[in-house]
Amino acid sequence: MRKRILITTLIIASYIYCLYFIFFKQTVGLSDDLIFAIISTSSIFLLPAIISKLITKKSYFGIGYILATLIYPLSYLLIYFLSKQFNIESQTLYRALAYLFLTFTSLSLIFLLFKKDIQNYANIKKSLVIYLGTFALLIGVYTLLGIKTDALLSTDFLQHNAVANEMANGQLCLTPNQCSNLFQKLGYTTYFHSIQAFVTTGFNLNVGIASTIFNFSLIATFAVLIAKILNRYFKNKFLILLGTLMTITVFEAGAYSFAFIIPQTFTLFLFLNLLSERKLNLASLLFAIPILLANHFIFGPIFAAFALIYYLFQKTLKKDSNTLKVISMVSVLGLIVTLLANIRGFSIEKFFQLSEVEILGSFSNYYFPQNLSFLSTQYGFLIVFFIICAIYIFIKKKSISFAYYSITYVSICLIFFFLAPTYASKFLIGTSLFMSFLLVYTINNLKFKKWLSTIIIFILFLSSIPFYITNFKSYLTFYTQNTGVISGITEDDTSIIHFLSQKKATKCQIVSDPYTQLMVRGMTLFETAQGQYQSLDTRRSMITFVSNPNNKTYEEMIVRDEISNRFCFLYTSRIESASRDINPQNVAWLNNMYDYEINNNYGVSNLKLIELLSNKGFHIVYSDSNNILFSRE
Amino acid sequence: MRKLFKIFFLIFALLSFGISLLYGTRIFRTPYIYEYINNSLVVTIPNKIWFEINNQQDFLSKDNKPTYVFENDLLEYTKSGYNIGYIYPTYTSKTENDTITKTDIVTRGKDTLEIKRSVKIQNHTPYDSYISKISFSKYGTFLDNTYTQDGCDISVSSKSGELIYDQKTATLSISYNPDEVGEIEDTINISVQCKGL
Repeated sequence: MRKRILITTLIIASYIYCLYFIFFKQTVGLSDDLIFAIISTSSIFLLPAIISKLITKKSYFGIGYILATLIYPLSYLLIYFLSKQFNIESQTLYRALAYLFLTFTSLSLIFLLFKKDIQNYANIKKSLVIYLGTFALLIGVYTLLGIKTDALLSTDFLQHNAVANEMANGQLCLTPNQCSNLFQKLGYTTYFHSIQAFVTTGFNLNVGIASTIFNFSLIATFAVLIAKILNRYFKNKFLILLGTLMTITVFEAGAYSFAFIIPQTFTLFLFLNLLSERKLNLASLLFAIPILLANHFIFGPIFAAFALIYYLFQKTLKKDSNTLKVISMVSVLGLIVTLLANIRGFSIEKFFQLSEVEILGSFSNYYFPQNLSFLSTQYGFLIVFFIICAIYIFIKKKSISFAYYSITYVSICLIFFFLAPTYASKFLIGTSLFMSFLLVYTINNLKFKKWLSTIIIFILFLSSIPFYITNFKSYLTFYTQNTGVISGITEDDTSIIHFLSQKKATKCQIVSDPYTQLMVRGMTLFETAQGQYQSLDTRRSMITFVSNPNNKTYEEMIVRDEISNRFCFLYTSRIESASRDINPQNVAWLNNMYDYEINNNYGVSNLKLIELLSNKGFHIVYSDSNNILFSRE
Repeated sequence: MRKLFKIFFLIFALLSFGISLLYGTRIFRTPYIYEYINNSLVVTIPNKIWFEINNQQDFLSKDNKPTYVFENDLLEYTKSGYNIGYIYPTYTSKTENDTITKTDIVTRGKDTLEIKRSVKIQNHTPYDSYISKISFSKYGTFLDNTYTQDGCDISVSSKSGELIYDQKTATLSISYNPDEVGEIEDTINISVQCKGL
């Protein structure tokens, strides 16, 4: 009872802190408060778990959780119709509902704690320890690498925020491209964005802190979920804990499985919920699949297929160990064949997607032998242990179906990787979980003494850390500004962004360099000339115009498809930075679609440009040392 | 069978731990890359700026009149040693023709690249100096033998050469006066430090 009161006090204190924060601390504008961000964002992931437990009366995770996430898109639709019907500002409704959800989550959690079910209490306690432990671990990693908690480490967050902002502003967006031109391909519905809107608009958090804590919350919830999955197969608590830690301390570049929250990782999260379901049946699987599809049009079907394979392995073929072994062996054979084909030079990207490569400006994949080097630095020894464990499981007479499933999962992902369609590394999504599972399973099966197996897995976990830190650090290179600050948001953009976010009546399209366009689109309601996906030709014509402003270069720039008739020109020092290259042909962001200049502190001064634009009817509506905004409105 | 597997597993786990520790010793060092590409030693630093030392830019000078010495000569290099953790590979490059032989041995310490240079000129008397260049990919500021751009500082020092930076072309010249037998021995240290990395 005393322990329950301790946890209850913690929950009540958190809730009171939020109330105090909302009513007394938060003034106008966005919040950067770390504790408020942690509590509020955590409640976003907790709410579906609570609903699942209250309704199904069985489990916090699983099918119930997946279905309960529907509360977010449904809330969005409700807010949309209420705001239209009663003329209420949808942002206000978003905030009201977010706090209502927070209240419901806190009270329900207390209610669940005091239920007589001892197992339930033990589960909550364990989950809380793992959740908070993961948060502490992540904050530790950030501190070690010199990253502040309000740093933005994923430009994708801004891209999705553009849609979330429009949704919270009362726009009807069923797919992202209905509300923003930042999405060139139709990859998902706005299911994910309806959740992000609760974090940024609902709880009024600044994008930096919102993105970090949103990521942390997902990773921590992943950890709880993975521990739950492992708990079904292992009794040793340390093995479960270290297996979980080993899974989340693999930085999968491109897939970002346990690093950032984006639609593909959220789909993985929902998929793992399916795997955590104790009694998965076909009917519930069929209910969940449309939600997977709504979250990602590529990974949704892939995970749906993986879920069906899982269902076959766990239900239909569970007792037929030989068949399972043959299936997993065939998948390994497929992996060997694709690896050999890749070594011989075959790849989907090179053979069938050259037109896409032309648009991107370069190949998106590593090729032999760099791809093997990529795998070895990404997974460290986990990939070697995968081979060892697979051999052990194949030699063994009989293994559990999940072991065969794990081999099959990893092999299929690697097959995709070696077939190499564009951005093939994305297809490695979630593999670290199955590699870790195989490792823990093999150690457990080799029947070492309990202390020895714990030490071995601990040593292997420690071995994975240098690879994790190295990969994470290498990822941070892009986000490291020339001031030493590690973040996608630069201090030099805040004033212009603030200025634009106040100008709600102005409707011109902002034309600037691709990175500034992303900043503007992600944090204001202004449309841009295709944000960060501005074509290479438009980038070049803009540079030509700025470096040599005259009627000809101006006309050549404005005839580009992305630039609308009603545009405002935002001249930044990022554009000016191109002139620092000795050879103008080498400017990275003019040659590769996914290359950007992040720094904006080189200063702007271009009298010829100001003169020409003023002759064209533009006037300066905003200026600072690094940005000048020209408008005709 | 299981026993054998257990022993193998245990040995491999310990081995992987040792190698991971070695791998991790590089984590807090500046992650720049140095390699030979197209006749040049190219150093790419994390902020994407790169600089190169290309032998084809080397010249002998007489009254400020340059005579390029390796215009048509290709460089040959060998790579030796391991590339893991605190251990970096060593490159030995050699360019030679009838009049000049130049050897550079490139090694990396913590964040410093050391180039041990040896040049032998057959007939040096008509010339005043031998000049080699380091070319940067972007314009930057150069102060106290340190090139600075985009949060990275590249400090260059030479034991026996004189450093002269040309702002217009963003090139750093190292000028040597050959000794009486036409030999130059030098150690160039290039240290790379970047903010936040």
